[in-house]
Amino acid sequence: MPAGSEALKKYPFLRGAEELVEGLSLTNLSDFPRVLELAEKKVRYMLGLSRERDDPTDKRDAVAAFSASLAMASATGSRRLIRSYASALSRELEKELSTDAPDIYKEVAASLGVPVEFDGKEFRMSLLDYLSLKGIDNEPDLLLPQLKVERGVVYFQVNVFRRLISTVFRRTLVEKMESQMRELSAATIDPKVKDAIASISAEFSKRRGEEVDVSSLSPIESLFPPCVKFWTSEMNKGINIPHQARFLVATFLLSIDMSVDDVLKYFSHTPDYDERIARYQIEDLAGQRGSGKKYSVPRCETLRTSGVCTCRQGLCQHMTHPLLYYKISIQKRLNGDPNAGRDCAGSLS
Amino acid sequence: MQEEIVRAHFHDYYSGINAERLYVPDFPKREFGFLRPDKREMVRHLSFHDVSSLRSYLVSIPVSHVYSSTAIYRDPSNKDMNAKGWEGSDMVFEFDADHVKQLKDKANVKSGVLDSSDWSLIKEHTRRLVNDFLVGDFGFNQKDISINFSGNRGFHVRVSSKPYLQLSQEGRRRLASYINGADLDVDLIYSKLKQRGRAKIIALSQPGWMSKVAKAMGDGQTSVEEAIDSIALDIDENVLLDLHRLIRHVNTLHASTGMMVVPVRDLENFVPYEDALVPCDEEVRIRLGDLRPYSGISIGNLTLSEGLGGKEVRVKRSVAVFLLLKGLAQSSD
Ligand code: SF4
Repeated sequence: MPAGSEALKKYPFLRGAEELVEGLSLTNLSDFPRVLELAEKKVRYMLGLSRERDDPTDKRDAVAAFSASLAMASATGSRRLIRSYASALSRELEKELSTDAPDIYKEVAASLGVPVEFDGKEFRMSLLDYLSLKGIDNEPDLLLPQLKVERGVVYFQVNVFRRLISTVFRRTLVEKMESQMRELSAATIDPKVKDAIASISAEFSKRRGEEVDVSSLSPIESLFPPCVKFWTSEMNKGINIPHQARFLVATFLLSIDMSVDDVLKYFSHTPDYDERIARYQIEDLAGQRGSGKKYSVPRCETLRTSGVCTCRQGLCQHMTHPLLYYKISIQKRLNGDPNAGRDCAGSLS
Repeated sequence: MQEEIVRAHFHDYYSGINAERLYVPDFPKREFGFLRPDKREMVRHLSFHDVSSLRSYLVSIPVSHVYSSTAIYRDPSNKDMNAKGWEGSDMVFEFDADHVKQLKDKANVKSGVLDSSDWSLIKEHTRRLVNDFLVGDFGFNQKDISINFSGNRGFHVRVSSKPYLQLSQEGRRRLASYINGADLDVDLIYSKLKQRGRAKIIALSQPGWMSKVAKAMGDGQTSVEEAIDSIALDIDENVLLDLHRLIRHVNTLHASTGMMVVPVRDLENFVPYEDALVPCDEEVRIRLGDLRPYSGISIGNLTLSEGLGGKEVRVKRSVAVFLLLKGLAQSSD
């Protein structure tokens, strides 16, 4: 069933939307001045470059402007801009959904390739479909242990499912724009459109440059597991540490969402530090290179066997995973426990 | 002499085995690998059309560990991994004494001879893995789950479910991180469970980790950390993630113990040092070494005790092979 006009205006990516705008591209966009105007305004508004919002009244315009805006963002060639735009659109989607009845979620989800059922109270999905979802691994409340799971079926409360859709949406957009970015050849873009893209791009980077970097949840070093603390402090002293210990430190820091640049700082004091090589290796561990495989933090057992584990007391006595240590310690700290993260602290000189 | 006993043990076993017992689904599509006990060199990228050719091969080679792939391939013997034509992989959870925290530091466990309470714990963990996680939460069908004794210190739990064969590494990682707790958001659990009386409701209404933790906390005697700790299973994520993993092939012999990698149908009543010993009538004479850490452990019909140390005994060959390979005896013929 094709989506209705109202739905398409709000969710211009629903199934069937593409057919409405077949043939539209950056080559001929200036033949559709209204669409170009809408698309440019949308990108600017979403990126916070302007306060002017211009919502299309016609579904065809809505769909065309949405699709053109993605193409324009891709054409800037900036991964950062693409990501910001995708994030903004996904936040907007979450907001839109929250004003709608959950029945529409199913349709929105389907257009993103997420098969789901709604029973009037909860959404449910087969475990296999859940496991195939992409891009949800950085959202703790979307991870399996936080969800209701029973006999191969995963259940979501309405608000959690909304988050799921917007997360998948964001990822889908990033993938789509990045692939457009690779395929686009500048030569075929209409000059008028090019100007618009160039000015968006320039304003965006100017703005970004001025911003202070506030990484929201800065990592709490004092709560790192003893092994990570020990090996990072060794590196700080300029000591070369074993390969397995480097692997632990790098995968751990990456998995708590530290950027490659920040992770590199930890390694920069080691005697054999070569930024180019180190960056390459860390990007590889982060899954940003060839194989795309993101490496996981080794579990405690492996670390014990390889001699990288440095503590067997307190929380570490029965610990299974360094990340679990970190999470439990954060919670202890929040609960006011003064000893949080202090296991084996004495032996760390 | 020791070598001869071991060699004869392996040779007789493979000569006498009903080849059908070496069957696994999609047999011709599996890659095989063989590793000598000195672990120096792995012969891999082999495949066999049928079980009798595998059996003949096993009879002809020196004592080896025998592995087959969890994956099925279009061309399993192709040496180029990318050209093998991967069609999917079973999911395998390796579970042995190293993965049970209470056992890690025990002397007898380290040297690989377990007592019955050690086995009970490993079996209990394996049972929890299967019942609570694989069946209860993930909904795998019992008929798709098989448990094999590893031939040494634990069990391999294998899930061969058609729809899951092609599951990505990312998907497999999510399963592993569910079982070992790496993906747990402890804050969230705290915030939900800290209100009095909530635990009981959650135990009933939110199957999965939440309910497990709520149940394990009981009436508040157990802290959240302790509860989590008692639930998380220390499974090896890398085994699960590795789509090209080779694991011990069913009904072959473990080259460090001489025991059979047998399918386990009744985990509860499975006694490794009886049920996985190759049945044989032949007896050999061995001189026992220092048995102090193993007192009370029975291997077949021989109960180890401190007093037996240094003595010569006649035992079934499979018992002798186990003790010889573990370095707990020397041949004395
Ligand atoms: S027990 Fe785990 S977290 Fe603790 S020091 Fe050892 S490896 Fe690190």
